[in-house]
Amino acid sequence: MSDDHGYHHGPHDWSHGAPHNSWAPIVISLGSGVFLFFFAKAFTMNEGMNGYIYDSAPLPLAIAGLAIIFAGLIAWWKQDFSFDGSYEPQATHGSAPFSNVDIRKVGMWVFLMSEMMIFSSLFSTYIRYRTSIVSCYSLEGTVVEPGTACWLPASYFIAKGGEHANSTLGFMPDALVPGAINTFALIISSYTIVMALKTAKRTDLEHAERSIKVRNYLGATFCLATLFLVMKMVEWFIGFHIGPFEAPSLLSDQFTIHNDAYTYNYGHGAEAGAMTVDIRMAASAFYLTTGTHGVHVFAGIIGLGYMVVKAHKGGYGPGNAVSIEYFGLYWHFVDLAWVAVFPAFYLY
Amino acid sequence: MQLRNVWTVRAMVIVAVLFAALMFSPEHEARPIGITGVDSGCYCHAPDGPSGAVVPSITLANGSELPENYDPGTTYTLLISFTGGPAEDYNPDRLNTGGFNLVASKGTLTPIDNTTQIMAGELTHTDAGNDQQTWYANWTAPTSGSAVLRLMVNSVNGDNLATPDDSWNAVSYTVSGAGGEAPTMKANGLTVLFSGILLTAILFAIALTYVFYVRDPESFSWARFKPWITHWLTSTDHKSVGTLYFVSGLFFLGVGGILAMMIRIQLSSPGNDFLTKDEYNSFFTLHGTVMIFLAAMPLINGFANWIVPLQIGARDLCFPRLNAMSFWLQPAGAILLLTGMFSGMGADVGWTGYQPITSTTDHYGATFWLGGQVLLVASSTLTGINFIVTIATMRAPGMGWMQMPLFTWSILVSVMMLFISIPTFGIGLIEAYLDRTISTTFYNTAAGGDPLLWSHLFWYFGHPEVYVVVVPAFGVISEVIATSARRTIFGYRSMVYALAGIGFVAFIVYGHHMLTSGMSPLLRFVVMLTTMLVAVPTGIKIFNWLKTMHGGSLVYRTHTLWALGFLVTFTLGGISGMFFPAIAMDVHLHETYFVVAHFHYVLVGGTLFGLFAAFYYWYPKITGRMMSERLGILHFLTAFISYNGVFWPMHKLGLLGMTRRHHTYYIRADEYSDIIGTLPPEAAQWNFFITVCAFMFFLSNLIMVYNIISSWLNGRKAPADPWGGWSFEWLVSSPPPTPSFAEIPTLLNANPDREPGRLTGMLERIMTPDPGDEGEEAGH
Repeated sequence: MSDDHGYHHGPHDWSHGAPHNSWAPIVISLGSGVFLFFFAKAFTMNEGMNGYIYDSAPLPLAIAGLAIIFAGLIAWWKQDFSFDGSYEPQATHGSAPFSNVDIRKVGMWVFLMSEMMIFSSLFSTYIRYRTSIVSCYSLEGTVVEPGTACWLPASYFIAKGGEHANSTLGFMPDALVPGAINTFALIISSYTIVMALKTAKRTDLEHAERSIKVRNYLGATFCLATLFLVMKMVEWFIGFHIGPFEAPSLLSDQFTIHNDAYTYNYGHGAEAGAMTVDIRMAASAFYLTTGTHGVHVFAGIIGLGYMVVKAHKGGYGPGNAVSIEYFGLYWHFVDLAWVAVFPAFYLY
Repeated sequence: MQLRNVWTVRAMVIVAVLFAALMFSPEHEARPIGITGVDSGCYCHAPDGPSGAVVPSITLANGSELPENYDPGTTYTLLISFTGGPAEDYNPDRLNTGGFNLVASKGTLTPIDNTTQIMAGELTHTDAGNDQQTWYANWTAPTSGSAVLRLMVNSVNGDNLATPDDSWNAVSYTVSGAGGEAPTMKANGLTVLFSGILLTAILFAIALTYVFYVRDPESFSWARFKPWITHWLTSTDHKSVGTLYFVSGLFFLGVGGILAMMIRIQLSSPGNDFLTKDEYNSFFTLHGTVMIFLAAMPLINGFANWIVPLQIGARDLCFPRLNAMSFWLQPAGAILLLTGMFSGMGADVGWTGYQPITSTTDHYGATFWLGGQVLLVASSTLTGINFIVTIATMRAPGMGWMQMPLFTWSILVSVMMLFISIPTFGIGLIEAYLDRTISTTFYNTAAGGDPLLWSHLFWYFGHPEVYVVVVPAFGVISEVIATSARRTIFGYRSMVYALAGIGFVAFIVYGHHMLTSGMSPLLRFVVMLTTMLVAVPTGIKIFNWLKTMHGGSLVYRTHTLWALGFLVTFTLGGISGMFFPAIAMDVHLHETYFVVAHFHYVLVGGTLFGLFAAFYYWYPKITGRMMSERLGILHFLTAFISYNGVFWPMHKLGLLGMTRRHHTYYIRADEYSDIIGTLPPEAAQWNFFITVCAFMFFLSNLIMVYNIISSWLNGRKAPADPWGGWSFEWLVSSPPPTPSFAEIPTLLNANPDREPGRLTGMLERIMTPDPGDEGEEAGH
């Protein structure tokens, strides 16, 4: 690493080695603090200590916090835009078992280890509640103690279609269509990101042509990821009625965090009854886990936005194609998390 | 040589004087809690705290207010009464309605009828005076001085049961002497805290500004300041980030210490009201949180940032901007954590944040506390990634895994534990944060949530966390003892395996924090065994340190003294910790001061003493100056002795039954009364002693702060290797240049004919890509 430029006081880009100053860290940190501060400020405990008073006034300041985080990201990207791979750190020769492996690749794998811990904690929460509260439809034909709460998972509303089991395709209810589209969207996007990587590494194309192809593949990934989030919003809040396909949103099905009055009718004739359903618990676990996954997809979209712009400006070539590979690793992990989340929360 | 002897004698004289002063400190007499031996079915001083519904008052017998100034020597007839509370609401027969206890700080109280009596120097009611709400008594004014009349009343609901359905309240009146002596104002805990922190910060800022002015008065201008402040706000160099961690860590160490002083003032006497219950709860919550997350971990990160790249021969960490972000997330988190402190609404949930109180407390500071910790989780995760990858991939040529210095190993094991366990904590925090904001029901018992889920998520992180903070201290001690004994550490390989063993076992013992939570007996048994197991690798390390000294020739520097002190206090802490895995003992010791004593012995006596040793050891390398040995030894003696005075008696208090996290405690009036929750009189004396020692400990650490600043200004210039160490950080100058290594050194092998280990060989064969792929990918 060359340091013949003397000791720089200000941030600079990669033109002569890794930058050793940056405004991004402090700006992103303060922005995160501002966001969490004002988001918390929007809610206060009510008198009875069993509910929350929501005040929307601090929320614009919370959005300002997000904007500050984004500004910090822009500062980071401005430095990285000129990175062309001429300084890609590799593990030193003695660093068994990672000798000569790209350091940033090791870093991405280690980061994914911590991400595994996040998702396993979310699954732990879900499993703890799911296995200890009896599911409502398993109580059919049994005698139920009054006051028992039962569990209706999200799959009751989605995979079984809940009380509106409209099924145009026959083998699955319409409510599952957005979920199915999402699954395929993510899998195909994993393919397009690999294609972007392979194209960037090609040496038989002109740089301009290669850049366009890379940009297109990255753009396809971007669009598929955005489609994923749009489908998720449709499924959660909007619902759809397109031709014969019709399904209500989870919101209109009353599968919400605040709903404490959902009852499930079970049995027939003399044994019929209604039980209170623990919808709040099921909804909390569902929305937090799928929401966390969605946040990870969103973070990927932000990253992809940067990469599309950089590809458009011809910033990716064989020298720094590995940068796409690192993102690809993250993206495959997000896909893998979805492959676990989808059956566990949408189908089971 | 002569001068050093004289100074040692002086130091011993000072310590002896301090001891003598302690011996002659005034004995503290406990105040009894109320009427005893009267079988009237009332509950005095219900632990819920005073009730606003009960209104006590003292007036003169003719109904007029107490005079502002008394006539010296005259006798006033007082009318002592109360209104409100269960006596009026629930007591239709007006039998057994209430009682009182009146203490006059000056002057004499005398009963005038059979409804009042003097007991243990205080005026209280008799059995005959049990069924009324007003009493009369005489008070003879003193000749001078302000008299404080403190009245406590009990409003009893007459159900003949001693339950907390009875309410109590207290009031104080001050009657000044002739000449209108102004009564002393009662200190307000929050004001003292805020002033303390503000004062510390202002003094620090002034000292810093002064330092810069003094160094170079001519260039004290904005044009010179701007690049300096920009450098500190934007630098990603590991040395600058390390220094930032030190500054922030030491500042919050002071804040945590001030919080501890508030707690100790409150606990210095029974029934004290320096802090209200809510304030006290906030203070111990933030004492724990600040000390662990904003003091201990940043100081460890400071040394990790400074020393690890130097020790492995790297120019910087592998992700410098992430490293800077790890640091800056901490002040951002700190601001959130401390929100609400100064208005009395700080988080009052304990650093452990047990549910369901964390999700339902009306202290809004709890939401911010949760949010701030989420930022700290992010900070720690990024730190973990950074250090693991740096240590795995950026070692100098010749430095295999088994040639790394033990401090680097300890940082590696520590961050591995940290970054695997802390995301779980993050999820727990997010769940609680969402519970408090958008009303999810993760821990809401009314809606089916389970508070124990938090306990599991928290302690899965919380137990590895305490090893995260103590394992780097192990690394420091290894370095310090080896250098001081002038030989390599005994049993390097077993030290590494012991660290790895601790790192692994740390994850399977967390249930010992939940032994009283009603978990399954089988799991309790398993966790008992694994907890006892974790003492084994730790014990191996202690024996190795002892054997290192035995085979070497010890030089006594300040860092050596701190390492020796560590060996004593950490061993004691580890032994006291071994009482808890025995489940039967844990049931008795849980939530008592025995626990407090144990973890302060391992956290302060372990982590903090290790960090002190590290300060004295690496300060010359970091700043290029030598610290004053005299001040160092003075610091060690005063701090070590007063620290033991603080925490050793807590073992006894715990066994006596003093409960932790309670804002106050009560003393039995005599040895026959057996009211649940009261302590023998010696508990009050020990608490007072502990408070005095705590102040001494707090002040003694200021010696080190002074030493740090004054040595930086005019200490002797330090050579590259003042202590004779042999790891790579001693190769470079003090302070190191930027970049630290102009040329990466090569670690020469003392045993060149030794084959690499089996594990390394196996991993190397699996993980290293073929040369063909590498050429295609790298492209350069």
